[in-house]
Amino acid sequence: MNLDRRDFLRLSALAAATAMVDRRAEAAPTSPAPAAGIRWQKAPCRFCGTGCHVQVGVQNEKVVAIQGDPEAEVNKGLLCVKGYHVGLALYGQDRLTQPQLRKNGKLTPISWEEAIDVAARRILAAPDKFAIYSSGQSTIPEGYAISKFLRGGLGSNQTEPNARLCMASAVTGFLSTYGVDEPAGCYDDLDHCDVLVLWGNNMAEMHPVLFSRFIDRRSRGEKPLLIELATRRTRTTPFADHFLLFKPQSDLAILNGVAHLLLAWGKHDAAFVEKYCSFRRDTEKPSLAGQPMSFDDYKKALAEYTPARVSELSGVPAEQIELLARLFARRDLRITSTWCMGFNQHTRGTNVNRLCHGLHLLSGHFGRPGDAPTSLTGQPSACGTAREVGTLCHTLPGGRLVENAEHRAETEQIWNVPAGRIAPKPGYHTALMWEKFCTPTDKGGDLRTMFVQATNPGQSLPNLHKLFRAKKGLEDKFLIVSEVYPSATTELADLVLPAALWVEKNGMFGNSERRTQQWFRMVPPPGQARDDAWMILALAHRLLELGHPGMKDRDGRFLFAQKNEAGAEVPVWDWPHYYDLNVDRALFEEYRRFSAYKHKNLAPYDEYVKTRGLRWPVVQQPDGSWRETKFRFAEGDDPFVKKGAGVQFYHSTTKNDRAQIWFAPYEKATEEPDQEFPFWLCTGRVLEHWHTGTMTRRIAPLQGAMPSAYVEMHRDDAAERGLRNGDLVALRTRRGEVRLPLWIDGRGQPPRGSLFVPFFDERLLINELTLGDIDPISKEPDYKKCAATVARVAPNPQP
Amino acid sequence: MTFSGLLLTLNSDDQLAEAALAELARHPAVTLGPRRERWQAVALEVADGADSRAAHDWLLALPGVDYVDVVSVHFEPEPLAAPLAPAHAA
Ligand code: SF4
Repeated sequence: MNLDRRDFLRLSALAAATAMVDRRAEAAPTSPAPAAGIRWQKAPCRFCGTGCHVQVGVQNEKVVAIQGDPEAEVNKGLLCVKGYHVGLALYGQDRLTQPQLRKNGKLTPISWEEAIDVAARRILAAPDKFAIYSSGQSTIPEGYAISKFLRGGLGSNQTEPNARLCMASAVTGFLSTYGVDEPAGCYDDLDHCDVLVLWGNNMAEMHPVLFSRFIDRRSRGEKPLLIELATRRTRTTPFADHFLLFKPQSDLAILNGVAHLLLAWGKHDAAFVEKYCSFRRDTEKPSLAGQPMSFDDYKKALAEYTPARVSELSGVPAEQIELLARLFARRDLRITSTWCMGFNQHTRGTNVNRLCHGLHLLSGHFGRPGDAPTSLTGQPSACGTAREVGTLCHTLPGGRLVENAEHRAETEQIWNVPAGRIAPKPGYHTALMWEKFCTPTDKGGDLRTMFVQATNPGQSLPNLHKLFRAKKGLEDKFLIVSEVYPSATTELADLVLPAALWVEKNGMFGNSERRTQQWFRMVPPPGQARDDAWMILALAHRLLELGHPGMKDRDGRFLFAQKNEAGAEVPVWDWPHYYDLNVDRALFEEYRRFSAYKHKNLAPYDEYVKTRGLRWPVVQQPDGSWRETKFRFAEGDDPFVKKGAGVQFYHSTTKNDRAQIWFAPYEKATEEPDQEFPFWLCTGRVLEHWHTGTMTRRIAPLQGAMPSAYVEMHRDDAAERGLRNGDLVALRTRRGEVRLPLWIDGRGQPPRGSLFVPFFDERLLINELTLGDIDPISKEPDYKKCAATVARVAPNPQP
Repeated sequence: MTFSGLLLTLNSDDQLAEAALAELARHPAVTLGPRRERWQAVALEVADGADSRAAHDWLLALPGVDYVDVVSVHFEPEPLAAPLAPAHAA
């Protein structure tokens, strides 16, 4: 590299940093630096659920630069290290560019025509034995197309998103508390709270831009308190005012302990509870509905959670539990709680979510800016697509339920399909879906063809030997995978379909704070890669040609027929014509008709084109403009709260505008360390990689910064076993063994008796070891705790 | 080479902040930009991603630096150090 170029790059970096310094010091907002020939357009980041907006610089049909979008409220011009590299996700050298069919054991290039025909004939042969497994990375229109194709076309509910693995317990927590999914608050709470409580949520690494937004308040002279509860130290810990290290699973006990103290001290918010809440607990068989309980019974049930007992269960000193309770007891403070996979990937995930909502309700920390319990998501559209569109096996668009006859009838009406087309029985939840696919047909494995889009179950499912690898050798099972890169999933695929990624297609996402975001296609996909939504439309049309009756509506029109502005039919299933009109716009406008039922009202597509996203409910104002909602259920901001109500839970499960405060007991984990497997094993993410690393491992600066997975262990545990940093160790659980390098203390420091392994590395599939036990209500697996053991295989080659 | 633009949030104790800036000024990989109030612009030039992480950790460990935000990263595809291969590749 010559000196001039080096100077240029250094000065460019400095200019970007200087612009941000000015912005932080509240000078004029900065726009992307003008550069000859670069065209800038907005898009949400492809990676996490924070939903930062980036400015994408395109030159000669290639993404050449990325900047944080200064007009985006979420990130105010900042991005994390992944976001700045997001453009490079498109340019890994091994992009999939052609459909491939496995012939004689080998993936062999074929044409798109053949690929669609092969897939359609598999479906036609046994529509009831076909399932689609999509993603919280699928765009909103993609998810909607899947739902309509399966439920409205094939009359099947065999659809699941990978969001079952990360968000399902948050969903059941919201539903059973408020009667409607998704947070009442939003990211603005981070700007207004006096106390931020992170419940097992390593925000500094997982949602770094949100963390920076909160921490920045300190540099402005504010003193918001940060409380971190975690089972290991992380990069968040040095910033915490109080760090509460707890034993895995004992979050249930801690939440009960705090609630108990509030009642014992008479410091709960009696007026709020009296006016807006009821009490509830589970029936013998856990369910979403549970059963009512009285306030006195609730108090009695909590009585055993004294600080001493909670301390014994959790390892958290009694004084720290009291400290937390004293904060919740103060009405002059505003408290925001956030959580993510620590609560959700939990065999009692629904209950721990319920208890956290309950604590906020009991203490009245709800309904004011800065006073909110808010779950965060890992994927960019787990909320927008999986939860709102409804690609879960039991949901219909807009929060409707498959089992509800009225909901089915409304959906059939909007889709204009014959009455009775939508099956009344939910499909299989994720773990069961994959078990059914990986079990021989003669042993009850009744799913024969799976179509995977925008996700990598071969790496992300738990207990992979049982739920994925067992597919190998099952001759009558057929796996179709739409992907951008070879992955642990394409490895077992029978048909691989090359997919367009991010700004290679139009798209819409919905982030963690109910914000719906839109972007346009900016560059062409490589080779023959095509849009996921197009694949669904093309499959549906091929099935129509092959005579499947479900691919027509009541008037005999193709289910996905589209007309242009002149009223002429556009053959959008035919790739050269797919972009003759904006299919995303058409699908979204149809989907939007579903959104008012649960008061998740969406604005017209064109409003999202103009903005960096809008938070639903979005309601039209008398002057014709569209207004978003920051704080739901709170009078003044939420347009659906009655005047004078203050707070109104208008989707209350008890139909009386009340939220439910649940009691749920502490229960032991389903697998705990013992003599043979003496360690807790926790898995998760790292800052540099996103999820299974399919994209970030192709980005050299990120891959270079974090080249491979490792196992973190406390220094005393290592010393006791004579292990040294970098030793190759065999990590074993009851489900298998993985060999990987040891990192003593790692990034944070796991406590004694506990291990941590990130799951981004497809060469070291940690999910071959994870448990696969699920929450009985949400059906979400626990990835955060199982029992493991470690033994040295070889010493560090470079001591 | 990797070039990053960084936004440093300096400690409110001015002495600590000044000491951190003096240390930064001595570092060959760092170019200091303007400072406004508690925010300091920095360009960082390192050999590769691993060095970039080490430098990031070093910055965060300075008592006068409270927080490090990455603002820009130069975009030049680098070859991967090792080829990617799945666990069960034949
Ligand atoms: S925080 Fe998430 S959305 Fe924001 S830039 Fe980083 S990866 Fe992208």
